[in-house]
Amino acid sequence: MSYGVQVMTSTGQMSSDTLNTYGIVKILHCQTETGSATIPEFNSDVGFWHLVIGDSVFEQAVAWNNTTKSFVWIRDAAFGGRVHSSNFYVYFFRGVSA
Amino acid sequence: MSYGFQIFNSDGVIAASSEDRVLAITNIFSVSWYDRVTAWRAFDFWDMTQTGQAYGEPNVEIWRADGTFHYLYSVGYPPGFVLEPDMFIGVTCAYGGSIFARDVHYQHAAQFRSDQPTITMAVARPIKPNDNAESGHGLVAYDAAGNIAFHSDSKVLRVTGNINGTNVINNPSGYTPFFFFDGSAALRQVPDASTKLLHPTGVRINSAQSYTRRLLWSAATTDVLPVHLRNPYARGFIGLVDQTLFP
Repeated sequence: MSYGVQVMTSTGQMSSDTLNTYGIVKILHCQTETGSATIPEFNSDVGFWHLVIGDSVFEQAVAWNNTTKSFVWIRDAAFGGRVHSSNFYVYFFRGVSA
Repeated sequence: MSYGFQIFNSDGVIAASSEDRVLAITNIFSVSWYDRVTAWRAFDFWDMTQTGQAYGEPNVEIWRADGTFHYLYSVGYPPGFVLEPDMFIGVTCAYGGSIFARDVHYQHAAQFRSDQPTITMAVARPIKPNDNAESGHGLVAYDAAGNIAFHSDSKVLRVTGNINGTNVINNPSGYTPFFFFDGSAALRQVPDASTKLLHPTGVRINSAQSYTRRLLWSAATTDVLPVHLRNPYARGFIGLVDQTLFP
């Protein structure tokens, strides 16, 4: 391997990019129906985010701008005026390659 | 950072950091069906611009409770299992089978449906600072507070990517893919007060290397999937579990 590290484990030698393929770099707790947050350490070119709702069946419409590093959540227009979650988590996973 | 390590790739981008949290497998269960459900059909996800497909058209699988076509089974949590807020639930089944999930979050009882009578469920949780597993080998990384942030001997879930449209699983040999569905995305509701139907999202697991995203829909013969439900909100990720962890 050209970059990273290799580690001898109890199951043999492993390289750093296989030890941990996607780590959680940020856990965002959203407590409003609409809002935004800046996550400078996240790069959607290599990572992804995962949304976990805790209080409602209605999910938000969400968007990520990789230039401004801005994460936005709004009511899903398909559900009109229905109540959306105001208690959900977004897990941002860091990828391993660009 | 003042402590720990950072690993950079060839583009100068951080590939891993000891400040990252990884998911570790804490339990693996084999769970069997408790009910057969009435007629359902599963569609491949579509782009929003596509038109609806009628019952029985290609890319639709059909199941009926009377065994016509195939059975679709309901599968729940193992007896006594309680989902806690920081748990991630991944499911898998025999290759060639389909599996769906909805409401996989801690304030609801999750429901899984599959055309396989038995599925396998993996429970993953972020490694916490007090997970100080003993080991004579490997690598231990500490965070700024002096707690263990990463341990190479942990039963780390290898997250290989999110569930997206590529349908490819980057899976080396010796691992089984589990699907960790976004609980909210697994539950879509028709915005019509008279027909509050729930639509589990899921996948057909074609093999250890590929899958097809699916949406489960009640099988009224004339139903066409509403446009706003065709787009795959099915977010989630694919985690690879070392097959030696299976009981």
